[in-house]
Amino acid sequence: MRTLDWIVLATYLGFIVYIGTSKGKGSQNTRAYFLADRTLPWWVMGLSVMATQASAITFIGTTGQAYIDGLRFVQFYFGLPIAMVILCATLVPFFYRAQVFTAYEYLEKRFDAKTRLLASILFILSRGMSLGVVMYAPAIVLSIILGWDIKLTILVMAATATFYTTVGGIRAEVWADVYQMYLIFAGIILCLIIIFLNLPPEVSLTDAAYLAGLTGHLRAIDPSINLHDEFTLWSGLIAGVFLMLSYFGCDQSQVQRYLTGRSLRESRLSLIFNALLKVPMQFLILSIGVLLFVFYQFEKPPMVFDARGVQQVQTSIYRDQFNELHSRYDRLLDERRQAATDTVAARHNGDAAALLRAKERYRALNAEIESLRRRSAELITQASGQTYNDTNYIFPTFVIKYLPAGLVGLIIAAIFAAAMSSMDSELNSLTTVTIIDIYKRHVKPQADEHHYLMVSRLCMALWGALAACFAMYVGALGSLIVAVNKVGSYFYGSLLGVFVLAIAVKQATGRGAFWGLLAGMASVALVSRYTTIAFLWFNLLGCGVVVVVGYLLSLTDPTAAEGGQPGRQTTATGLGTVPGGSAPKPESTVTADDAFNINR
Amino acid sequence: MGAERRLPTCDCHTPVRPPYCSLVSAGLYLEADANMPNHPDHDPPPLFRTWGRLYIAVLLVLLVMIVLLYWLTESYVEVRA
Repeated sequence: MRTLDWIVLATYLGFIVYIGTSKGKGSQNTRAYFLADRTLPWWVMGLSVMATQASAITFIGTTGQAYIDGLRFVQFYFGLPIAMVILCATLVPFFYRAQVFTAYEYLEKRFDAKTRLLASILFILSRGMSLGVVMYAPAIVLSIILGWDIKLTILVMAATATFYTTVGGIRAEVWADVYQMYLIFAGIILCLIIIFLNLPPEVSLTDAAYLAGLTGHLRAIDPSINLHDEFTLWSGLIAGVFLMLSYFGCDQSQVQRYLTGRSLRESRLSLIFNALLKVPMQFLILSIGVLLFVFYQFEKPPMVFDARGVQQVQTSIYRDQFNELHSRYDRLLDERRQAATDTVAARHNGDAAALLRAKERYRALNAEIESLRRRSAELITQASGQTYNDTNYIFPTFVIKYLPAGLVGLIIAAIFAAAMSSMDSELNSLTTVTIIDIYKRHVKPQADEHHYLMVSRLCMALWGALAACFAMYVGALGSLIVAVNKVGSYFYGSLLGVFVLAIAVKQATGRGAFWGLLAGMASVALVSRYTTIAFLWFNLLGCGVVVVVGYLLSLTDPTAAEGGQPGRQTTATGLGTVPGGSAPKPESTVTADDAFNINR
Repeated sequence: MGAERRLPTCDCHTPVRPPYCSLVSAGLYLEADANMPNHPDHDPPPLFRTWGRLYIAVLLVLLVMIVLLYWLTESYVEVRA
């Protein structure tokens, strides 16, 4: 990082704080603080939805994954447009017309307080822990790039995001997301252009695609049916739909975005905007990784991209083996560069025999180099005692080594932006659920708006501090990170099942939904423990179990026979508050039947 | 005195904060209606006329994207053969 890069990074951080605080000032009540008074246009919500989903790991991890594995990860997002259409037609009108602050608030309107409480607590536990991981994962990479201590990196990210979110609430956060998304888009486009311009002059874009295609890096679609592979066409189109439905329909960090819309139309359009943009955006991010792969056919890539691994192995008994691998790797790189050059030249000359020879040699060398990389990673794993994976370091290594001054700062700022845009949304949603679903509903239902606003700000700051502390120590917890991610996957599909029960199963009762939710989570935990089915399918499984168990239990529920549960209307304190007071607003309560009528 | 005219209502916006939707501003709608019949601020973009058509258009775009990516894949599978 040179002086100009530091200036760019500092300018970005200052600008985001300024935008956040200036756009978000003046919130006088919780409706303004958590829902921006429901006045935002679709494109602002749409960009915020995208920014929330795009974490720093999406930026640096996805490019690294494409470098190794090609474009196939794009299939993971095929379910997103379908899920968006389903949500626009079903859940979005429900949430919008119910005038709720949180997705879980709707569950009390439809079922009962304990189902709402269970869903809220599950969300808080899952998101609260994952927020630490969301901060920690990019902080490791950024701390190495910036040469900062990891705790300082976490502190800078957490303090910045927490500050503007606490001051301005969701309006600050959403507008910060908008500018952060602009920066991310600019970063993606600039990277693509710069990598392409750094290819040898004789290599055109079609040559680059040809070389990438020879090693399978352009295999974007895999139509095979394999439950154990998460990146196939069918897992994306079927299981992916359930994952995206769960994430965008039941996760407060996303639901809260489209609840801020100035009309139902705006909320729907924000999701449609994502439906159209997400797959192309992921394709472009993955294309950076693929182009990087081609770029490194003509430049020398390090055998391992995370230098800490080399240091570990050099002080271990595996040092000689590693060095031997390294010298062989260096020799093979020279040969591969020649093979790649020969392939391009033969292609240009139209010499079929030479092309066949050159591309076979090129493929064989690539396979051998990949094998050496795998063996070196195994040695580092043995030396350090921890699984070694340098995927997340591939893109940052390129940025630091090959980009000019100023652009490095811009790309690092884009990685910061991606990290903070997810972080601020999670902070906001955690605070909203804590205040609306727990504090206002169960702890202090009768306070005035000034009190709730003050407590909300305090809570936001506390969540920021808590997440930063958790992120600072999460690395030492090792396998807990995996556990945290797993809890999220247990929770998502099952929660989706509860919402399906709520809107589609007329006979469903609170008892059915509550125990169905627990049964769904238990079933996913069991399948995860005893099978090797890819995690994408957990959402479908959890959702299915909740619906079946919930429905069956509801049939045996005496309250259903009395007609007290389905489509119930609740006027519990904390629901449907209006500006200037916390009075219940029973007229805004919707039943399942009402909403279906509205949809027609 | 004639009977007071009852306006249809709209819940697009809060009563205290602009911008109101066009019908509220024109005095044709009040706030806080759950049904919003024929309400232009809730219609899809005019090109599509109904939400159903817009949804179909989105799904068609997805189909086109998948076909293009499949074509990309198949082109290079042929190269590998």
